Parts: sequence; structure tokens; C-alpha cells
Amino acid sequence: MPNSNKPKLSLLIDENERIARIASGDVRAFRDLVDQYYNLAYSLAYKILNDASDAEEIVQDAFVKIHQALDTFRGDASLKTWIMRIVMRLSLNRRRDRSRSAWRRLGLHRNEDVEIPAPAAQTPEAQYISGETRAQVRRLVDQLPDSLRQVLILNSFDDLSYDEIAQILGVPIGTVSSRLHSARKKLLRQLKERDLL
Amino acid sequence: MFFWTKNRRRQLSAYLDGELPPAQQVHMSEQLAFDADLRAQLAELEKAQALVDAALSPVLTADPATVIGTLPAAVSPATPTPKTRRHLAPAAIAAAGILVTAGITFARLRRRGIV
Repeated sequence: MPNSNKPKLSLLIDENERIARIASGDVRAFRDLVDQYYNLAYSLAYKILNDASDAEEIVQDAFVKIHQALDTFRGDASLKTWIMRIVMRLSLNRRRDRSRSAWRRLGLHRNEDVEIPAPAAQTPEAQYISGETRAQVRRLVDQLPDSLRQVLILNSFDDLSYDEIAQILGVPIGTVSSRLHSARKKLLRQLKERDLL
Repeated sequence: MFFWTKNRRRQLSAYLDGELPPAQQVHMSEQLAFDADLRAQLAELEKAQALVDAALSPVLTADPATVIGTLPAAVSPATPTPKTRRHLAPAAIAAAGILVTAGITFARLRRRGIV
């Protein structure tokens, strides 16, 4: 059985060529890379941090880091999962730092749940539910244990397979499947308790 | 029985994501056709997933092009330091040295009344 963890060879050649061009100072190649992955990176950061300005900052930091570390990319995973791994790590660090801040511990921080973007600024998925329901579900997701929340967030990307989620988190595929099942089970119970389902 | 139920729920979760191996995916579809309870469970899972997707969905983002503009110079190709700057420094030191020497010589000559 072929190892599905490995990116396709043709993809690898394209990516290697692109990396070589960026490393040699080709700004356009880097611009294309940012164009291609910006939305994915921003969505991941936003889903973890639930704050638009934090997410933008993290994505900028991430692309600087990606640019600096591109020559260390060994191609064990695809460029996409490598980038998402970097964004994920930076976002989780920011989330941890935020929760440790005295400002937040004292409850003086801005309450993100209250920030409900105007419908025009929302994606079609977000418009599916009311602002209040959105805030409640978001709170429930935030209360899940880290390992379950991470897998649930990554699985909310349509174009990420269990295989890719496993690569990003550095866990076996079976673990992704079982964590996802546990996350959904917990969430289902809580959604029912709050009459949201 | 408990294990079977638990395992089936886990499989249902993977089925929802289209992540079951093809044979199991077909088997699950067949089970769903005959099992109303299983269909209800799947519908619940789908609804919960839709809620999660909607709740996690970000506000529309800025144009990546504007983000590139805000990236620090660290990601731009290194601008070589103009060579003239590097060569100007010794030249400036030499010129300053000549001026100082000329000044001192002029002062000495003036003191002696030569100029």
C-alpha cells in the first residue's frame, strides 16, 4: 500500500522549484506563495484566536518565519501542511500568552464573544446562524480540551483530510479520528443541553 | 454491544467527513438506508458540524496583496550596501587627515612669520 503521507512527486518538484526561487530572492515567487496560502493561514489563526487583529498579526509573523525557514523545509510533508503547522504553533503560543496575561486574568480584556461582525463582513457560513448562537457555539468550542479543539478546528477546513490534519498535529490518523469523535460527542451533548440542536 | 455501538458512532463521524475506506463507506451507506436511528444520528452530527463551521467561520479577510506590503523588509531580497559608501569612508578619513596636517603646517609657518 503506498504511503499516503508523502506528497505527490510532481507536487514536490514544483514546490522545490518554488522554494529555490524564493530562497534566491525571487520576490514574485514569495508573493505568489502568500497569495495562495494567505486565506488558509488567516482562517486557521482566526479560528484559534477568535480575534481578527491578532490573526492578522500572527499571519504576518508566520510568513516572515516561513520566508526565513524555507531552506529548512525538507519536503517530508506538503508545503501546505508545513505552513499550517507554523501558523498553528504561533497561534497557540499567542493564545497561551493571552490567557496568561494579567489583564485577561483580571477580566479587563475585551470580550470577544460580544464582537459579532456585521453581516456584510461575514462569510456565508457565518450568516447561517444568529450572532448569539454563534457566540454560544464558539464558547463551547473554546471550552473543549486543547487536543479536541485543535482537531475540530482543523477538520472545519473542507480541503484538509484526516491525513493532512495528522501531519499538522504530528499524530497518527487514528488519533485524529478518535479525537474528532470525542470532540463531537462532547459538543453534541452540550449543544443539546442548551437547546441549540 | 457497547463496543459495537461506540465503534459505529466513531465510524459515522468519519463517514460524515468522507474519511472511511471505500468498502466501509459503502457498507455505512447501506446501513443508513435501513436504519432510521442511524440516519437521525447522522443528521444530528451534520447539524452540529454546520453550527461549528458557522461559529468558527472568520470575518472576510484583507487582500493578501495589502498584507505583502506590510511584511517587514526581512522578507524582501537583501539590498546590497552601496559600494561607494564602503569606499567613501577611507577616502573621507584621508581627506580629513590631509586637512588637519595642512592646518597644523599652516599654523606653524604662520607662527614663524613665513606666511
